[in-house]
Amino acid sequence: MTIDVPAVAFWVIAIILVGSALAVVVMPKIVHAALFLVAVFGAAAGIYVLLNAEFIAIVQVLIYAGAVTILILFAIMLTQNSMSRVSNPFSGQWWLAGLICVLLAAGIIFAVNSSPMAAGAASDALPLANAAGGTVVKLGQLLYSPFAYSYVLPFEIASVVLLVAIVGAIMIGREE
Amino acid sequence: MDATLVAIIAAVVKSAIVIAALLTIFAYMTLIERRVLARFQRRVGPNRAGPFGLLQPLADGMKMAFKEQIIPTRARRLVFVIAPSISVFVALAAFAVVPLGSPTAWGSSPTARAWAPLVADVNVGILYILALSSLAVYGIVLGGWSSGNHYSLLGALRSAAQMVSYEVSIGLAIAGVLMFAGTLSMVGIVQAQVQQGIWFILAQPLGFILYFIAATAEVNRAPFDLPEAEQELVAGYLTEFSGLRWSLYQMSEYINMITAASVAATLFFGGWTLGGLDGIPGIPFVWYTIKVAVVLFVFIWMRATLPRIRYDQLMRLGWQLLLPLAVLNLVVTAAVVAFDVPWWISTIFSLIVLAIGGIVYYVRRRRVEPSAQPSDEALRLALPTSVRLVRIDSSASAATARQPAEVSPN
Repeated sequence: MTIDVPAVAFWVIAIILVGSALAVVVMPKIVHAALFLVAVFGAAAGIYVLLNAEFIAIVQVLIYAGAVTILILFAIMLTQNSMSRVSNPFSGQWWLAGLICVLLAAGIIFAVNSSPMAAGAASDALPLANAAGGTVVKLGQLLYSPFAYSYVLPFEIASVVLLVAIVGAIMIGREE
Repeated sequence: MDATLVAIIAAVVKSAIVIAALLTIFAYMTLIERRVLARFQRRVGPNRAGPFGLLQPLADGMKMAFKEQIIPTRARRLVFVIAPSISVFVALAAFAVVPLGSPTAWGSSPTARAWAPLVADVNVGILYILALSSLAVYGIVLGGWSSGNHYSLLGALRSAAQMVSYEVSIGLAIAGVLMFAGTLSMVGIVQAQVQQGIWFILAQPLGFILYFIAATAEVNRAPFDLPEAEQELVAGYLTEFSGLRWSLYQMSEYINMITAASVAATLFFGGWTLGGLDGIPGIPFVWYTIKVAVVLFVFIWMRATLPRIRYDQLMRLGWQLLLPLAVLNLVVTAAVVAFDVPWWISTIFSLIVLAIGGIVYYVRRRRVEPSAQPSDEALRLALPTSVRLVRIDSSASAATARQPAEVSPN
């Protein structure tokens, strides 16, 4: 017997992901919506694992599920008005948002199916995913290697931007 | 049989074994902790149920199972009910990558390797543990918030701030080990220690101490148990939980502690290996158990010895001491690894930093307590040496001034 395990896993995770993403939008209580956001990030990490990108999967959980959503939860818990029954109400323009979502989805599906870049990029990524020791070593070399072609300069520029952001946050948060 | 099918069956069976084992160990950890704490405090501890109190966990479990599980009227019911389960789920899941023995001893074929003594040999194993321990904060924050109680919410906020702060230090403290090992896999780290012929605690004493302090804070153990401080917060996020839900929180705390001890054993003490004896079947597991047990004992020891620190001290320790030291350790280790100099250079550096830290601590302590030494010779002879004396300030009150000293139960 042969079960295509990755395919089964993909569909299970994909259904959880899309279901949770819908729940984030339609849940009447905003804390429940935030919790489904954690499920969305977890399912996205599952998709990354299926793509042999364990490192990205772990970072997804560590940063988005572990840190970003906790911040969102904090903001909700400390500012929420406990008297309101519905804390995640629908906007009157929900049909407009729905229309934009449908257009965006159609655009992505069209691009994936017709672009020659999409198929090419997938086959280019395969040797990276199948590298010995997983993707971590390859990622590290690609990001920081001083000898081979790497993205050291963009990485360092991004670090400086983050540093400026941190200093800015401290300046704003500091008491006079 | 199909290798994929074998792998799935093996993973399910091994997960079931790990879960059952962890829950049993949790039950007996509570007993061991109570007995050891009792020893530290010159008591006997629970010894009524069964020989040496061995049936005490069973009795506690029965009691918890039959206790009423109160849900406060102001609680957010759904979140209140699932929060303890989230805590336990995350704690159990984190243990999956801890190796209890060498997978290479199980042969090289995929079907044989599937039964190796760890649930999953992930090549980013240590990051997996860090990621799941960063999720552990959800159980506490949601539990505290959903209780609808201000003390619970305060406990949850403290806990989240504490865990987020100390996660950074944990990551940087173990980065030194990862540089020496050159891999993120738990199995790979142990194999690297065998290849290089050292335990990484020899090369990274500072890294180990930083990891140990940060891990204690991360699992909310004393002296960092502020989220459940009884005196200030009436047990913080745990206040409204009773019966089995309360036990679930206890369970996750102890399982997190076991995972933290396992990480310490794997990263710094060579995991399942000791003295080349790990070829004999069963021996690796014994070594692993002994190493984890020693680390767990130190956790209990610290709880019995150290007083809980204040919230501002906690934040200052984390951000102003642990973090800079971890970065310093990281830079020196990176230099040692990059320039390929012998590993003991980083040992010497670590010991110098620790010595400076010890001297600074001693000097400051002396400045704070100038009269800590007992001077009343007769009283000192009459008491056991373990009792320390604190001199009463004579200007404080006339009534106490007549007493020469007060016996501190410290």
